[in-house]
Amino acid sequence: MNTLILALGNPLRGDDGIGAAVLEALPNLPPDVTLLDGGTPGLDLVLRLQRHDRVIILDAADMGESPGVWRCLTPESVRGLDPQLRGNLHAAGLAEALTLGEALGILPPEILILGIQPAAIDWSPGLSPAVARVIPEVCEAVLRLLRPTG
Amino acid sequence: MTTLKVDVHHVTRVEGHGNIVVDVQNGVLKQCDLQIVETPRFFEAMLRGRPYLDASHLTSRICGICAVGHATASLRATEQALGVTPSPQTTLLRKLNFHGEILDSHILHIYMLVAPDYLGVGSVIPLAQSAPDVVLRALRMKQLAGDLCAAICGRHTHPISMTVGGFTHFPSLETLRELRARLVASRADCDATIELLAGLEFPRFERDTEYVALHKGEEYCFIDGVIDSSDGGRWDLEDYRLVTNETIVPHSSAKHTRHQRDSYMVGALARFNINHDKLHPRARAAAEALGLAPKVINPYLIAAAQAVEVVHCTEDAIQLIDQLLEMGIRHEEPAAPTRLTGEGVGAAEVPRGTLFHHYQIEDGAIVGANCIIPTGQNLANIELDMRALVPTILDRSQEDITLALEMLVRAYDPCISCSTHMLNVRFV
Repeated sequence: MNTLILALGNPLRGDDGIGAAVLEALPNLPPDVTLLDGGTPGLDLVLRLQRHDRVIILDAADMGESPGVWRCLTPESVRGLDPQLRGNLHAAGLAEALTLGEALGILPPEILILGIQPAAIDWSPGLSPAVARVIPEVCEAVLRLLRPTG
Repeated sequence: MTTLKVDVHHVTRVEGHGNIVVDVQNGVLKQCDLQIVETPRFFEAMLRGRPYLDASHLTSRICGICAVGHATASLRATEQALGVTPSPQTTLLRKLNFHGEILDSHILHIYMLVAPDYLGVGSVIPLAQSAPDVVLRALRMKQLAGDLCAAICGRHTHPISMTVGGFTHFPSLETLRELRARLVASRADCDATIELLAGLEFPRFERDTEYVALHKGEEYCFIDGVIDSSDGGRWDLEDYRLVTNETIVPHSSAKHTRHQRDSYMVGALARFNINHDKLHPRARAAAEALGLAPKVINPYLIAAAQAVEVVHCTEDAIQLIDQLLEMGIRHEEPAAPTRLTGEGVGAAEVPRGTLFHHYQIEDGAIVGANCIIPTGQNLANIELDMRALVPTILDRSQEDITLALEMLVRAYDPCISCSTHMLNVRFV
């Protein structure tokens, strides 16, 4: 299955770099898996998601949990904060891109988001210890998702 | 409606935070402000004491839309200060890079921020449902623009490989050929963009003002040149303060500017009015199809002028790539400074208008910096437009008046967070 593993976030902002850190830590993967450090894209992200059967997104997510807690989220749970997108389109992110992709009907059939609770997203690079510690487990979770299911 | 209060807090589909406040009492306009409430940014203070090579990387962070524009103006200011002469290849690559950013920004503004008003939808989301081909076209055009920037400067937001005197990375000939093919293919999207705008009904509102843009020989100028005014006169870049005349106003964290009238306009429409005869023939044809002939004095038509520039930049990018392919790409070292102390002004026509960076450098460190951003220059003009518009539409409903004002502000594509500065507060 043609899979895109997409890291989002800005490594200059503390734990926002967790996606990129997980991407770096992943072992060599089969050729039908594409790794992409997406940084902090806008609505154009929609087009990057196209033409993949499955997308696994790695991103810091504020879920009100303890730092380092991670969860597998569905697009529905991060989408639709502002379904009309009336606000600041210049700062559109994942939620907005997913909303737009849904409206256009071009989202891949399977989108999974591994959200990792950050300790701090402030203006300095480097992960907090609590978040850095979960990199191996999140890698393992990604590999489990990639394994063909029975 | 003889008594009216409008308080739009904040205006949506613009970059940053601004409020529209209008107060009409018994038919008399008491207040009509575009309040800029964005936090001051302090970039000029951040630059002081930094090595000159840091300036373009820091100032590109002023804006996530015009990152290449800020970097370009910044590099030109530093190069003027330190006596650096970039190579012809650098000049071509910078122009090509710049077109990528203009295309990216204009497409975003036309399709995502302006079109929803004219097509009667609240945002791009319902538009995606009702006209997915229109939104997909916009995304496709934006992606090409972003890829063009990324090929030249490493990434669009924020450029990595642009440096004083040149570039630290060069696109391969193969990449340039690919981009050229995509640009040629995007002519169909350009035509469709012009067709879309030709079908929109722009409000009929006209207010003549002074139009200011950079001018340079026979090219439709985006980088360097001199300051040109529709009211007559040309000024060297070093004399930018004679044009901008910044002042502080109480209701805005961004300064206002005025030149030969109470306000002036910069941006796509100002460039069109001043440099129309330098447009690529296909862009001139597009202007004709849109019924635009200089001087255009309806600010709502800024989006139409942007569409004309989309055609121009696409065509000029193709020509620039042809020149680069013919010359071949040389992996050249950046041109070196001839001194480490000096003062210089750099200017560029970024998507929203004329941008100035002015640096004083001593022994390689920046000791003084001044950045004048297009939106700051447009604020006074937007307010005067609002003041002229409101009395002519008082017969409409409050909702219609509010929408007309929001559309007017959006027409300028204001980038509010870029334009805010530290206010100098004096206690007396």
